[in-house]
Amino acid sequence: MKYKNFLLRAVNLLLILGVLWQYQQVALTRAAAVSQREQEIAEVEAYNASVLQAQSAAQAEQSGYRDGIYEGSAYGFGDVIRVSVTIQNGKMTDIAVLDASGEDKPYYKQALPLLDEMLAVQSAEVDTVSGATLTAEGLIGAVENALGKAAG
Amino acid sequence: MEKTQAKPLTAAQQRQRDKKRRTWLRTGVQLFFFVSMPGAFVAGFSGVKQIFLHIGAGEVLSVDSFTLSLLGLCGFTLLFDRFFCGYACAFGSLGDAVWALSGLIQKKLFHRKKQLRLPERAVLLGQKVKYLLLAWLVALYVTRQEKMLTGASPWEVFSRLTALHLPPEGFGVGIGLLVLILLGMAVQPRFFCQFLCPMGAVFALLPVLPFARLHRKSDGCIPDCNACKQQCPVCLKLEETSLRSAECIACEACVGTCPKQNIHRWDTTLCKHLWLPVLGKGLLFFLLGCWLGFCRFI
Repeated sequence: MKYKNFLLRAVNLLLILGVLWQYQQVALTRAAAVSQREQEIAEVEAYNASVLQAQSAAQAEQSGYRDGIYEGSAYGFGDVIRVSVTIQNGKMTDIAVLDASGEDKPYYKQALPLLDEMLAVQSAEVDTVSGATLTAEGLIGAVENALGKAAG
Repeated sequence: MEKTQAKPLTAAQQRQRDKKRRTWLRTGVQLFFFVSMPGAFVAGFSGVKQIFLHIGAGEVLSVDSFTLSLLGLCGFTLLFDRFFCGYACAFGSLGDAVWALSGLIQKKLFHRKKQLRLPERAVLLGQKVKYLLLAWLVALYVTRQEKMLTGASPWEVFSRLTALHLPPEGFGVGIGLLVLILLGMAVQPRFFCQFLCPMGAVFALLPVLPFARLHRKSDGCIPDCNACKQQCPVCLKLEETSLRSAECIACEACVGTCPKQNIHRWDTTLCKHLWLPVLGKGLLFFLLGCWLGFCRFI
């Protein structure tokens, strides 16, 4: 038959799309359950927060960062990325990107979650984002650079 | 009194002129896409990567600029054949440029008339490699081990170079692979596209609409003429229906070279002159360019 090859491929494609669709439905129900769970966890965490705050206050004296706002820069994909890091009570509380004009937007967006990650671990030592390696390395390098100034 | 009346061109001269125009038009389109969106093929494959990374993590599939690029490219290919490969992909254009350069060097320096290329059997075998590569990459993404590829991607080095910056440290493997691929491009047209490109593997698996494909009316052929086969970068035999026709990258070298103009697509069947196909293709590439550009800025 003339179109056998085409029909076979079309059926295959539909199968793949069907599987993806099914997966999406399962993932959506799961995500709903997870968000419900997260609400419960948030309540517990609110309780824990007070404990953590006391701990971080103790850590602040050991971190060795002086309070203030520090700028850092490093080479990203297309150009230099500049960030400013805010240190409060010896803790890194905020990272703001001042300039990332040399980055490709989709890749830059992919690398952005790194900032929250770095705030969470209170350090610039996080894994890069594969696919947006260069932008990610630029962000990490810039924060490292700023933290270096804060420590020095 | 008219002294110099332009002599009407003979059929052969007309063909020569058409062929030359065809080549220039194609080069023009390739150059345009190379300069304006050198990262389009990476964005398309990043879409595949996103989908399988999400599945590996059990997350909800989301629509972002990469998956939109992928959808656009696949839809375009499904409807109109693999014109993206033949005309718009920067890495494919690089392959064409390296192959042409290598031919020029062989002709001028070594006086070789026939350009050195891989034997056909090796080519047919090599074309299977890209499917294995695609399967391996998908497996890596689903098992979330894609970090081991960091620094090894020749694509990433290439996209860095097209942004006019030197690749950074830690990209030694990627640079090495890119150099090897460039060498390969010099001994086989479209070396990367037909042997290694995972995006090409995706395209080759798609059900391209049969009427959008090239067709050959072999009953009008000159006996033993195989000009089209000689020109084909992916060693197609160009029969009416063939399983391997999915390998066709729509470069249309066969269309331009056929002395009988026996190879057609829907557009040339509609109109014998060159202008309608050119206009149609111009519109197609305009749409493709708009979509890819749109994906880049959301």
